[in-house]
Amino acid sequence: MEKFLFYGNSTSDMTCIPARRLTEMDRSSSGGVQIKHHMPRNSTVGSNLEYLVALAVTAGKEEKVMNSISKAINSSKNPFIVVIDKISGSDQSAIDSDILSVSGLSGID
Amino acid sequence: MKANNLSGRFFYFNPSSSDTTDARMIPMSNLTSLHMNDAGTSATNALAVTFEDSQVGDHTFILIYVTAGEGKKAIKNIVDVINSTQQIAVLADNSIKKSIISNVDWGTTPSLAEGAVGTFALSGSLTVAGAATFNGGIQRFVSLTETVDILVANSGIPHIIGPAVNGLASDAVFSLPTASAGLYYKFTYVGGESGADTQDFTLDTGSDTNFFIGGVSQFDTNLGSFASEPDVVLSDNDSNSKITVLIPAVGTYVEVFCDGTNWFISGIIMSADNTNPTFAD
Repeated sequence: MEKFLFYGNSTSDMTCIPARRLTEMDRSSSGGVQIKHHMPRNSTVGSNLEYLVALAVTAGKEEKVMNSISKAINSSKNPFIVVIDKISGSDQSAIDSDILSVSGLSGID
Repeated sequence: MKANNLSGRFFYFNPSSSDTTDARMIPMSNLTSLHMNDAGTSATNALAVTFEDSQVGDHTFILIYVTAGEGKKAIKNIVDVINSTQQIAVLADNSIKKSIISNVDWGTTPSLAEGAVGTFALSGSLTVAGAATFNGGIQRFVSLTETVDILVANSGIPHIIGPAVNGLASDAVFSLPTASAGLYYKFTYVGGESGADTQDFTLDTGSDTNFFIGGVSQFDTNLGSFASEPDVVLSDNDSNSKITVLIPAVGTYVEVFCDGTNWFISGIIMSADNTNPTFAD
C-alpha cells in the first residue's frame, strides 16, 4: 500500500505527499509541529529540497500528534491519510484531535 | 502484480489535443506531490502533479484543471489508482478527454513543464572536499559608488569602486562587517571619470579594536618619473581602523583579510594627489 499524507486548508490550498517522502517530524515550539518532506524542488527552486508543513497543535501534545501520524503511516488501512482537513465544505477532520490548524501551504511550481 | 510495485507501473499523460508529440509515461514511483493550487497560475482549480526527473534541483510538473472546489476528490482519485493494480493509468489524455480523475475541467488545456536543470539554494554552509569546477563561471561582482555597509555574504567577491559615469559620491564610506576569521575583500577602483576621481573613499572596520595591520603603496600619477615612488603608508598596527584614499585613479586596489579580530591590508593606490592615503582611528 502506498500511503499519502494529506493537508488541506482550503479548496485552493491543499497538498498531498507520499508518506515515504516524509523525512522528519519535530516539535518546533510549544504548540508547534513541523512535518518535513523530501522534494526535488518546492516553490523556491531547489530550496533545501524540502517541503515543510507547519501544524498548530495543543500545547504539550506535540509528541502525541507525532505518534498519531506515525501510527497511521504504519497501520492505517486507508492509504489516504488526512493529517488535517480544514477545507470549507469538507469533513473538517484531523488524524489527531489535538491538531488545531495548518499554516498556509507553500505553493509548488 | 503487487499494487505497490510503483516503479513498474506508469502514469500516461498527453496534453495535446490532436497528436501525441508531448505524450509520455512516468513511473508512479516518481510522484512527489499533488498540490492545489499551482503557485504559477492564478487559477484556483489547478491541480499540480509533480514527479522526480533526472535533472538536478527540478521536477517534471503537470497541471490538470479540475472542477472548482473538488481538488481533494481529484487527489483521492489518483491515490486510489496508485493503490490499485492498474499497470498504466491515464492521468490525462487531452486528445480523447480521458482521465482517471473523475472531475477534470477540459475547458482549460492540461499542461506539462518538463524538468530541467534547476538552480540550487542552500541556507547552510557548503564544504567541498574535492576540487570545485564551475562550468558556468562565477559571474558576480559588487558595485560601490556611495556610502554602504559591506556584506559578509559578499566576502570573496570582487568589489569595484566608481563604475558610474560620475564616479564616486562625495566621501563615500565602505563599512566592513563585524570581524570574522576568513572574511576577504578586494576593492578595485575602475574609474568613472576621464581621469582620477574627484572624490575620496574610506574603508572603516567599525572599531579601533579591529585595527588594520599592514599598509598600502601610493603612486603619484602627476609625476613624470619614478624618482620618489612609491610611498609606503602603514597603519599604526595598534588602533587605526580607517583608511581614506584620496581621488583614486584606475589601477587602485586594496585587499583586506580578517583573522577574526584584525584586518590585514595591502594594496596599490594610484592618485594625482600627492597627499598619501591616510590611516586613522
